Amino acid sequence: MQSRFHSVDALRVARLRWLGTCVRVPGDEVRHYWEGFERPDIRVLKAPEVGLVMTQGRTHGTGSPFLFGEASMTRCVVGDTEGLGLLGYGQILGRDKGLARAIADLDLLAQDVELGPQIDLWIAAWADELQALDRAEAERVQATRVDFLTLVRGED
Amino acid sequence: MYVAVKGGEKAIAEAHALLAELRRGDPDVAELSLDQIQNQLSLAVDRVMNEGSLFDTELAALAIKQAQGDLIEAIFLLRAYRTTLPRHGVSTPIETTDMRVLRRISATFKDVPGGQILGPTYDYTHRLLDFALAVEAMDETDWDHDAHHHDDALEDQDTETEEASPTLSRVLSLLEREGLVEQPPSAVSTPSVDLTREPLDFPAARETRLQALARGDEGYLLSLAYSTQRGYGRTHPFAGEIRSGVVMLHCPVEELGYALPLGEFLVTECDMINQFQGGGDLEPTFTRGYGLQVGLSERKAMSMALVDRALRADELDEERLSPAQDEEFVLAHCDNVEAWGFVSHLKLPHYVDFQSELALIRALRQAAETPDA
Repeated sequence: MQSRFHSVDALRVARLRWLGTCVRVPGDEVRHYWEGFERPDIRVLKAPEVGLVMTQGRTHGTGSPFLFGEASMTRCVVGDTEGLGLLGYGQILGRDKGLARAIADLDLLAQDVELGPQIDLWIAAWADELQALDRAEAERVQATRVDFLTLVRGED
Repeated sequence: MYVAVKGGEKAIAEAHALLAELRRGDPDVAELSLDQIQNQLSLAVDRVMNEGSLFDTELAALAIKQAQGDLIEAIFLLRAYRTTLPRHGVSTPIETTDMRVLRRISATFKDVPGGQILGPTYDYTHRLLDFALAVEAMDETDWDHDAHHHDDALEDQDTETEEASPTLSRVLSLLEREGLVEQPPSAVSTPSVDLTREPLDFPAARETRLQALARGDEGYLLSLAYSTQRGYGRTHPFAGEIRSGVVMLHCPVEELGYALPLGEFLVTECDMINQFQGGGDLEPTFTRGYGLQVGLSERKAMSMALVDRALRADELDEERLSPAQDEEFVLAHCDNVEAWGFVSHLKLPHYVDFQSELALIRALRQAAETPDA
C-alpha cells in the first residue's frame, strides 16, 4: 500500500466525502461490492464493537447544544500490515458489525494509490444513485407544497 | 416499608409461558416480523425510540413485538437494553437547518421562503376509518415509494444537475434578523448534566430540561401543553415552524481531530413563538419554546416546545402559578419508566407492611370500644 494523500487535510476532505456516501448506501449493497473485491491483508486494530453514541441537538436548531438521546452505533478500526501507519475507520449507526468492518476496510484502501481510484468509481456511482433518489424524494415532497389563501371576511 | 418475599419460581415461570402464548396469539395468524413493525407501525417505533431514548428502529420494533404493542413496556425494554452497551462517544450537534426536508410548515407566515410543505401528514384527513386498509392484499399498482423512485432515478440520472434537495432557511431567522424574536441561547462551554448518568437537580439548566423533555412521556407532556393553552400558565403560542427531515449524524474521533459521518436519521422539530416581553428599557420581543424528536413525532415535538416555554417562567420573570410552570413538578414526573415503576411496585406483595397497618387499626378500634376505666 501507499497513500495517495500528501496532507492530512486532503485525506480529511476526501474521507468525509466517501464515508458520507458509504453510510447512506444500504448495507447489503456495500457488502455485496465488498465481498467481490480482491483486497490485500488488513490488520484489525479495533474489532467491530456495538455501543452507543449520545446525540446532541441545538436549542431552536441553532443555539446551545443539549443531549438529545442515544443511538446505537458500531465502530471498527483497521490498519495496513506494512507498518505505514494508515488507518481505516468504520463508524455506523446501528449494530451491523460486518458493515462497520467493510466500511473500515474501504476507508483504508480508498487511501491507497492503486486501489483508491477504483473505490472512487464505486463511490461516484453510489453518490449519483443517492442524488437521484434525493431528487425523486424532493419532487415527491414538493408536490405537497401548498398555497393557503387568506379570505377577506364579509364585515368591514 | 417494603419487606421482600421469596419463592414462587415455578408459578412465575408458568405465568411467563402463558404470556408467551398470549403474545403469539392464534398460531394460524402469520407472525409479525420486525420489518413489518418498522415499516408499517413506524410512528409507534418513533415514540418508543424517543421515550426509550435509544434511536434504533430495529430494537424499538423488537421491543414493541415483545411487549405486545404496550409502548410503555417497550420503552422500558429499550431503557434496560441500553444499560448493557458501552458509550463510544458524544456526537457533534445535529444541524437541523441543513436537513433534507420532508415537511415544513409555519402557522405564522403564509409565504415563507421555500413554501409550506405538507409532507406526509394526518392533518386535513377526515378521520374516517378507511375500510380499504382492512383488505389485506394491496393493489400492486399502488404507489410503491422506494421501488418507483429507484427505477426512475436510475434511468434519468443525467437529466438534471441542480442540487437534489436544497435546504430551507429557518422561518424564525427572519424575525431574529429584525430583532423581533429573542435569539437562541448561544453555545455553552460547560457540557450540560447528562441525565443518563446524573440525577436531575433543581433548578435545572434549560439544556438539561430539554433532555428530560425529549425523553418524557408524550401523553403527560401533551396534557401539560394543553393546560397552558387553557389558561394554566398562558404563553400565547404560535407554531412558528414545524419541520421534519433527515439529518446526518457525526461522531468525533479523538485521534483524528475531526468527526466522521455515522449515518442519517429522521427528526422533527418545533419552534414555537410565544407572547412578547418588554417594557422599561427592553423593546417588545417575542419569546420562544423548542421541541425536538426523532422520527415524525410532531405531537410530542409541539408539546415539548410548549412545556419548554412554560418552564422558562423564572428566566422571563413570570409569576409561577400553574403546574406546567413548576419545573420540579413537571420534570420529576415526566419519565414514564420511573412513573410506571413506582406505580407498578404497588403490585408486589406488601403483606408485612399491610399486616402492621391492620394490627394498628384493630388496636385503635379496640381501644375506642373499651375506654379506660
